[in-house]
Amino acid sequence: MANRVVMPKLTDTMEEGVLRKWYKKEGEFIESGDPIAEVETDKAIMDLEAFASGVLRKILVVEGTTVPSGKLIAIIAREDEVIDDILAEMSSKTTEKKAGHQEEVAILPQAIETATVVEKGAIWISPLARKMAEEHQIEIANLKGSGPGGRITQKDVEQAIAMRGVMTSARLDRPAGGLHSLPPLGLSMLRKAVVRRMTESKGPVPHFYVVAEIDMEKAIAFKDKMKADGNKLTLTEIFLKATALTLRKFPAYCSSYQGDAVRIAERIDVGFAVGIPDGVITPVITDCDKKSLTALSEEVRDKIHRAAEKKLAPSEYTGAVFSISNLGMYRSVESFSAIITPPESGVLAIGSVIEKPVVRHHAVAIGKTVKMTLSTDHRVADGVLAAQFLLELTEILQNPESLTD
Amino acid sequence: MPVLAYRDALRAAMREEMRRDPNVFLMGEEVGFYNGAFKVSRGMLDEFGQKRVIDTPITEAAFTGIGIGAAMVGLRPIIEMMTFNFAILALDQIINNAVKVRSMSGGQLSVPIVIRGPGGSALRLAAQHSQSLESLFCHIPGLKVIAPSHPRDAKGLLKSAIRDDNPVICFEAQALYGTTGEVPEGEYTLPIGKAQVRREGADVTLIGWSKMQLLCMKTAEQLSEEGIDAEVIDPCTLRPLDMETLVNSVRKTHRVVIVEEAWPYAGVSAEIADRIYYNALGFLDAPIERVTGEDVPIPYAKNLEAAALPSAAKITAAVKKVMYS
Repeated sequence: MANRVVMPKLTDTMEEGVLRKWYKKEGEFIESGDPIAEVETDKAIMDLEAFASGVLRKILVVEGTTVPSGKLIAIIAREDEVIDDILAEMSSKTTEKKAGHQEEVAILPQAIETATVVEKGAIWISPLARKMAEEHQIEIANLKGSGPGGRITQKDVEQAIAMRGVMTSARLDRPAGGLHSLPPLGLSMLRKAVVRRMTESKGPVPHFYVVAEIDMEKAIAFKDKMKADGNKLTLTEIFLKATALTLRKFPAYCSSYQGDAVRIAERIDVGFAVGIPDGVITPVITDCDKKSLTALSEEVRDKIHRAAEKKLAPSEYTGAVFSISNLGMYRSVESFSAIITPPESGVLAIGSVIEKPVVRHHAVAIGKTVKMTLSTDHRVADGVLAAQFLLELTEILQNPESLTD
Repeated sequence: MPVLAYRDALRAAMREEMRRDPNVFLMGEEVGFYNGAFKVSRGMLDEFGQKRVIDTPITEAAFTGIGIGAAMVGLRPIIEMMTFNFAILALDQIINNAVKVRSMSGGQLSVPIVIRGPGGSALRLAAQHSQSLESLFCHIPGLKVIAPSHPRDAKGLLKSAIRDDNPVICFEAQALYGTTGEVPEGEYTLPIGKAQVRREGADVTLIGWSKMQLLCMKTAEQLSEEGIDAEVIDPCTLRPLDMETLVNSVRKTHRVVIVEEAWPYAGVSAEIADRIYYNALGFLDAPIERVTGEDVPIPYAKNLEAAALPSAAKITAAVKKVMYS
């Protein structure tokens, strides 16, 4: 039987991918597992592997095309197998696209429906569930039905909405003016992902902000000493570890509001934002509270490097409970506030360490301080907790030896 | 508020309308000297005399036809069927005359007639006397069909039916005649074509009329003990249907069970289900379930009769099915 190759959906946030390069040509024989194309997702570039052996009979998408997840991009079949019926049914369902935009060329709009129907049979879903899925932009092909005969019901869609984290209101993440079908030139996949995720956040997530100024004298002395002892270490790792240790004491900040319930994370996985040329990506350090500073340092460097190359796997930049964003290397930034990445509980925006007069032992001295702004999802934590969080963080940074625990 | 039996509420409606309008009269088998086969017309002969409370021979087609003729020339007859099983004999008069005259005379004539009486089973009356024939009448354009479940509604709807300028069929039930309920004092009518929400709920909508309405309420109470919050709707009028009330409920609960004593094939519940599918498909999370009488003549044997009719257990099973639980 002919096998349909579709644009994969590799992460929850992936809605489309760019087919960057075909490794194989039409007519070439392919083993199951062979990489057949290079695909750019919203945050990474990866290989698309064939899931069936056979001859690559037909390529339906030219290189450089943006393709929605789930759409048919190629057909693998036996050499002598008749695939005209598939092609015919595709073209009969193809509606005329507005000409003139290269990115939409050769896309067959109904392919996903056809593919789904042919491969899995009709999707068995209650009308209410279908309507809800449409309203919340849940891909029903990805849902498992719990009803009789595998029927997708209201409950299943509600769960999918909750799993996705924050409910997006109808079209918040669909920019007006048909941007989705006609992306302006130069808007990369990553940029689009940033646009979508940040809009998803600022719309529904009720942010509030608490600022603290922290004396960094001891923390910097501690870092310098570690470096003098031959360790590679930057303030980023110090902040990550201090944040993770603080999170241990604040379960509310290890939780996320999803649908109608609050879910508490099992592990303290902390993200750190990395600016790369066309956007921002937030690699995640799993079990951040349990890793030593030197291990953190190595992992941070590796992930920054691979983020810049867009070689991070999706699992390496999703799933954080909380993130930090450090703009301290930009000396002019005193403080700023950051937008929470749903479904995380908050984000800590860290400014530059600045030399300024501070009062110590009833006398004015030259101090090194940093301003931190804690953005919190008000549905999981309140102001008092945010203040206590920052106090705990201050305690740790002012007693940096606790970071080596 | 005074508490009346269902039969007394019907009588109150007829009495008030006969006092109000000298053109209203009652005709049927045993309605006069015998005070009615089920005592609905008790005392009416004494009050209104033989000209307005008329005993007829056992000739349903004939006295229904006489009633239609009387209505065409300006009277407002109430025709009592001893039971609706016997109204089958009058179907030609009802279908071909009562509902056709207005349209076929170009509006020159109208037929303000009420045909009322009990339908449905009433404990071991056997196949010919236990039938629920609402759907036969609901099928006919030009007929209005009411099926009150409570004394208050029986009075208010029957009064509206008597004042209506078109033929109205009023389905009562032997098993309801002795049931009691509060009935407002004094003059009131209830509009034909308006359903009532008898019990508000969030999980599932139960729809039932006449005797089945009481069964729906009883089942809803049982379901609440299991944590299922059923909304119960009484259509009150089967034609025309109050779709607004039904759809509003479906929008809320997303699940529907319709209970009908009659047979399943081409039943009124099928019509209601179709209209809900058409008007509210996107709000349904499960196919509508119909709990109906079994597709057989109603048996005489007690156990078989019970098995052939809707029950709380059957309704509960249907509710669980639509709730996927």
